[in-house]
Amino acid sequence: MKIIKLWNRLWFQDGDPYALGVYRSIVFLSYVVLAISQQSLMASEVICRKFSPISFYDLLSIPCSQSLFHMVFGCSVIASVLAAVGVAYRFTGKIAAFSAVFVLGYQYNFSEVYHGTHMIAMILLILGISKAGDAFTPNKVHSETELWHYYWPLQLSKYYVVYVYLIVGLEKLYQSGWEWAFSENLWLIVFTSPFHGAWSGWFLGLSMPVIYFIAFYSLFVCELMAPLALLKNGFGYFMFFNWLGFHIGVSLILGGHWTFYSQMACAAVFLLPLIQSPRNRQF
Amino acid sequence: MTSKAFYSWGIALFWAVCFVQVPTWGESFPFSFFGMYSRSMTNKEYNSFSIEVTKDNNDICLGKNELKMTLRNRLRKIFLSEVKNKNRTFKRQAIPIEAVESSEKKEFREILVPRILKFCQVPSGQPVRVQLIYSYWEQLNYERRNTPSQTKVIFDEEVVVP
Repeated sequence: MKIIKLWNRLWFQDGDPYALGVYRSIVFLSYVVLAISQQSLMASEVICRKFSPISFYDLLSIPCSQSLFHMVFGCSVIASVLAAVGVAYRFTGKIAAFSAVFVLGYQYNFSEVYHGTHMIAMILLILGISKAGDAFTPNKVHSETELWHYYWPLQLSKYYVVYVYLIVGLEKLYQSGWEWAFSENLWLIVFTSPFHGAWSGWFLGLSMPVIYFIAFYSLFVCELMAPLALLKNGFGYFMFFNWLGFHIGVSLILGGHWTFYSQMACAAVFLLPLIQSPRNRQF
Repeated sequence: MTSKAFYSWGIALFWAVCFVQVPTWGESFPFSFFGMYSRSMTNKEYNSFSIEVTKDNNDICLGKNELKMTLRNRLRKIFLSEVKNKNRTFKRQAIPIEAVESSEKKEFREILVPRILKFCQVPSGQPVRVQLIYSYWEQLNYERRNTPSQTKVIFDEEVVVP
């Protein structure tokens, strides 16, 4: 019984539909920006690269035709815009989430890795099946929905964001130990990278102790300390800006990396306590 | 089943999917998007070209990233033609070592080396040693820290800027 109480307290407290609605808009709009900016890449992907189906795509007869892919792509973008605004969300939210996950995952079948899109794919699924369209929408919603329906999607998103950052840090320790930070490792990663950031040259010229510090900070503070964000709102804000700085730094030093900015839309869940909900000031 | 129980099962399943993949993460441990990351990453081959421009055994062009990019793109174009002839599916997959070995050194000397010297701002009249080294990983690990399966010096000459 105690476990059930704890479980309910963890996932099913009273939530704020307004905060969930704002988060829904941020995440779906972020997908629209990501999809449109990646459109040409997605098209070339399908044409040029080696097809090697993975996961549930094995079950489908793909690669699908260009026209079918573009149809699903268009559908995901239009439905995401409607879902972001909150129009007929119970329908558009699900269509947007599932078609977006198909589009994002489709690229992974062509021998390439875009792990910057994993987080948003999961968060889209969480929001797609939730009742995130009941507030922050032009529609008049007369909902008798219990308030816990607005809590678990935000809570699950928070834990998933933290999970991803933490697991990335643990992976580095598992693979390389603290040598990941206290060796020439990060320097080598930048040096051998096929991309080129605006600060790559500057970074490669830094002294090793400075590089150790940067590596340690990104590993320990940005990744291993991620669970702190779950403890207090203040820690949540702190970690959000840490992650933002981390991703800006990586794109300047390593180059590329811009799909990871969609993770910041997902991590915006930690900024929601700043929103003053018109209906419920507690969140 | 109550609504809360239904969502509880959903949440439990969600975490199960995330964590049950731990044993299959292997080398590419981190991300868990239905196993997509690990399978695509561990199948990945990779190659890299490094350049050394030395004078009296001192590297005079370390960390010139623009150089690295220009050279890499140029080398890709040269080798791409080799690979296309062999009807291979190719874009960002690794360039096979046979393609590197069969290339004409003239191409390097006439096209690449002048660019390298320009990027490295080598003063005219001074001899420098230019080396291009190809490395190939049959299976690159996530941290890019494993030793290359093959390395090959594909160009090693002393040149002078006119």
